Amino acid sequence: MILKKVIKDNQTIYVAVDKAEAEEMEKRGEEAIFVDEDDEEKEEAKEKERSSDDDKSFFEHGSRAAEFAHRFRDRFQHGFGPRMRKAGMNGRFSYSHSDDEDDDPKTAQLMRILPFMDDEDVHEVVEKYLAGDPDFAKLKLPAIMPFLNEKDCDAVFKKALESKELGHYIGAVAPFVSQKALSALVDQYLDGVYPDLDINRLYPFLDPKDIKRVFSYLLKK
Amino acid sequence: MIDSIRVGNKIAELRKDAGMSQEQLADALYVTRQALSKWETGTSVPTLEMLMALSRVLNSTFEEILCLDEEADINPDDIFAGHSRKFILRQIVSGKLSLDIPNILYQMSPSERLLVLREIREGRLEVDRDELDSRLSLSEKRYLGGKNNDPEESNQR
Repeated sequence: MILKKVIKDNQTIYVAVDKAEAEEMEKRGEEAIFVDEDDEEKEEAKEKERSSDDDKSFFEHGSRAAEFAHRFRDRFQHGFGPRMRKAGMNGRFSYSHSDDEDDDPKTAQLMRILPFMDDEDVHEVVEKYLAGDPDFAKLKLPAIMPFLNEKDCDAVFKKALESKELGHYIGAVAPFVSQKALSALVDQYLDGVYPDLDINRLYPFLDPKDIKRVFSYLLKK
Repeated sequence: MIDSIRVGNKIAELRKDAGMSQEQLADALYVTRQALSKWETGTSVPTLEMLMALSRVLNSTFEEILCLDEEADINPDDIFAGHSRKFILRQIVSGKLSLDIPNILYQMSPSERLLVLREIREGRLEVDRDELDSRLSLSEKRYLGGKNNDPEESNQR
């Protein structure tokens, strides 16, 4: 059903019109109101038919592209989102960390202010992390490592190793750890302290002497 | 630390010397050609087990494949060309590469710069501070300023 807006005695009323009159209204630029969805769809279909082929393909292409982008984003988030979060990569491809459901606001805030914090304050954060303070449990090690001094880096690395939470991002953390700490780790690995350590992820960061030691150990094994 | 790009070049070089195609070498190692290609481009490095197999098939040693006893050839105008970025950074921060740090800093990403600045701040790398300061951002200057402030200035704060 198509309605026409009419003002009568300072009151707005709506009068039903037929399709011929609605088309006339459209030509005059007056607004027609569709109260039935079927009618509206039919009118839209008519409108589409009236438009030129070029316009039609343009709109169709635009909507298809929008639909594709929407579907791609959904599938990407669904397919790779959890894996990216697991690998500590979330937020690397976006401007904000806030859309990460695993990020707690406190950690996100800390990440932003870390470059401007004094050594003592950063050290305090590290100490709280090492002491197992739940407020700092969600800290992302690859993100904080560049701001720590070597001693703190080594301590954080050691704790992460012991708690087995380094997992996939051992390669992202290792460049910040001192050669001395890595050599000590190799000693312990050779003594069988870390049987589950994935040495294949770590060996590219070792000193040539340590790589040779690991190789000899594996050859003997 | 190993230089994954140089390791890749070395694997490709040894493969060609042995007269093998990527497919042939990949078949001999029971890996896909894509995996071998990744090693040769330095995108990834072979596992230690694969290195042993590689040294056997290519009639070489793991030291040679990993370029453990070779000196890195660095072009100061493009320090990362032909090398792994992580390897070059590690060489710089450990003081094994004597480069003019203020003049190469522009080639690094913000986090790489921070890594180098940390070494300078902790006194393990020596640079001309005046020359360096003119190439730093405000936050980098602030970061670097921490340990170099004289006591009087600290007291005034």
